[in-house]
Amino acid sequence: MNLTTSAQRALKRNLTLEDALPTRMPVYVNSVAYLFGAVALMSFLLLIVTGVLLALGGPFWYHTNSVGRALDYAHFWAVQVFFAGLVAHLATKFFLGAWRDGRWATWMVGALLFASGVFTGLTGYLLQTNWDSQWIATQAKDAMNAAGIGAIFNTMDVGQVLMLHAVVMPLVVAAGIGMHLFLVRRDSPVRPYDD
Amino acid sequence: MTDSANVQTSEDVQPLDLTGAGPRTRENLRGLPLKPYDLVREGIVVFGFVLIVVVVLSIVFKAPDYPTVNAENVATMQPLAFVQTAAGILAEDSDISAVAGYGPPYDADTSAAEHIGPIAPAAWAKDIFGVTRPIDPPRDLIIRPLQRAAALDPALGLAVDRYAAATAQQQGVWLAAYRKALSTATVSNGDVVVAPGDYGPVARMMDGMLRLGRSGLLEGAFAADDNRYYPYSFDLTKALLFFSIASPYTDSATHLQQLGNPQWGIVHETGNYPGAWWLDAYQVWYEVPAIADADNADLIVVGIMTVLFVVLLVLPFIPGLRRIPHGVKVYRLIWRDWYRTHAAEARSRE
Repeated sequence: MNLTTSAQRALKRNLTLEDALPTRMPVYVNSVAYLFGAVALMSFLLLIVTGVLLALGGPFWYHTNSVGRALDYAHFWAVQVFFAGLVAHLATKFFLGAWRDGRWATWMVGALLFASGVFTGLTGYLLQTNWDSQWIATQAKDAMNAAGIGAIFNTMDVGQVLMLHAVVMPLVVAAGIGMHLFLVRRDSPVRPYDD
Repeated sequence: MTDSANVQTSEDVQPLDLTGAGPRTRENLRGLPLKPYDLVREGIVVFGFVLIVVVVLSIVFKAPDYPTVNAENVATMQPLAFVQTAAGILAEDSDISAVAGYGPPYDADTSAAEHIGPIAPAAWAKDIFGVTRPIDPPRDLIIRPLQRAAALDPALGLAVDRYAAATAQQQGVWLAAYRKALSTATVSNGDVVVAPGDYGPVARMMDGMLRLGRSGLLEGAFAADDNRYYPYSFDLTKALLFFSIASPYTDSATHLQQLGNPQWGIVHETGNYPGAWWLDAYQVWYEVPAIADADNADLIVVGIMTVLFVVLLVLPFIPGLRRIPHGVKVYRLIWRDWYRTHAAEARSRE
């Protein structure tokens, strides 16, 4: 068995070039509500860009340098836009019953992505290394400890928080987004209800 | 521009059918009218929109970045409250000390660990991982920092030695007397002055703690303690827990004008900035008095949110819930063009 041939067949079966980069769309895809997911995705890209630039300078740089401060502002507001897009996208897909016709995996990956995004956001707030981080770390520890998570994740360990926020969680979220987009494009937008 | 630049090649003209689409798309979109679409253009436009929104918000509102509140701040601004906190930690008073009697992951005693009946994740985690962040509050937060400070003040070292050599009962008597005296203590030139009494070495030790705090060296003592890799230190647990349930912490923040928003918890930022509002669905349960007053409030809220998340996750499989969108018919707003223009035609074609 040629694994490369099998991989080619699987790709042809599940995601052709027209699926991945569509030039045609069903006419019912005609509402601004279809853009909320794109807003979340593009905010995520902006978060990666600003996050990488912040990482180059490091925490003390973005507290004190004017360029670092500006990037910190942009990262902060990109988070707000990201979650606004994400919540609007989730609500829209709920009201469209977007899990129909075998799209349950797309929905479930999306729900897991939302949870991953929330945890990434929490680690980001902890990584501000300022009064808000200090307060949130001591507040959030109780829920973590009660859930047993505190044994392996300490909100007050800034090294662990830094690695989770700057390395682990972006990879998790990016992988989730990749899976979500694959399923979305493979299956195409859900049909309207037959009323 | 030449004429040839305006000529579309055959590759640019895409047929309005499902040519090139995969089997799932063909199956799902069979018989449905299509329209031209440009995914890349849409992505660029949305990215541009997001970029402009973020840049404008950043320029107009900036973002908060209030400095931390540390031991030096508290010891300088509220010396009496600082000493009350230190004495409360030494006495293992759980109303003052964030760690006293807490249980895992700070100590092995699971009696105070939150649980709902037999469901006790904190105790389970301790059995699996052990005590991962061990802290003995009197020893780690008071005695050891004072022992370091004793290198600069031998008399302080003698006081710590005397305290350590005393029985627990004697320590308790000294501490109780001193803490009682603190209720009528005054502050003079930044020092805490208590009425004369038999406090053993405790008054000397607390004065040492105050001076250590005021010097800005207390957090350094925490970071160096039991750390073979010092000066590398990322774990701020001891420094952050020292004040975390004591009012000096928030009072000092108020003095430093770092409390712009009386609404706290984990969802709010300082000032008038939006915080982690997407956690409101989590935080709102703490507003329910029956939950907020419970000893296991955190575990109850975690449990509720876990159940709600699982419901969200498996929503496509839950009879009744998965039909809600069809019942509320919000989709008729989103797909209004379809129902107005295309639905009847599509039905007749089928």
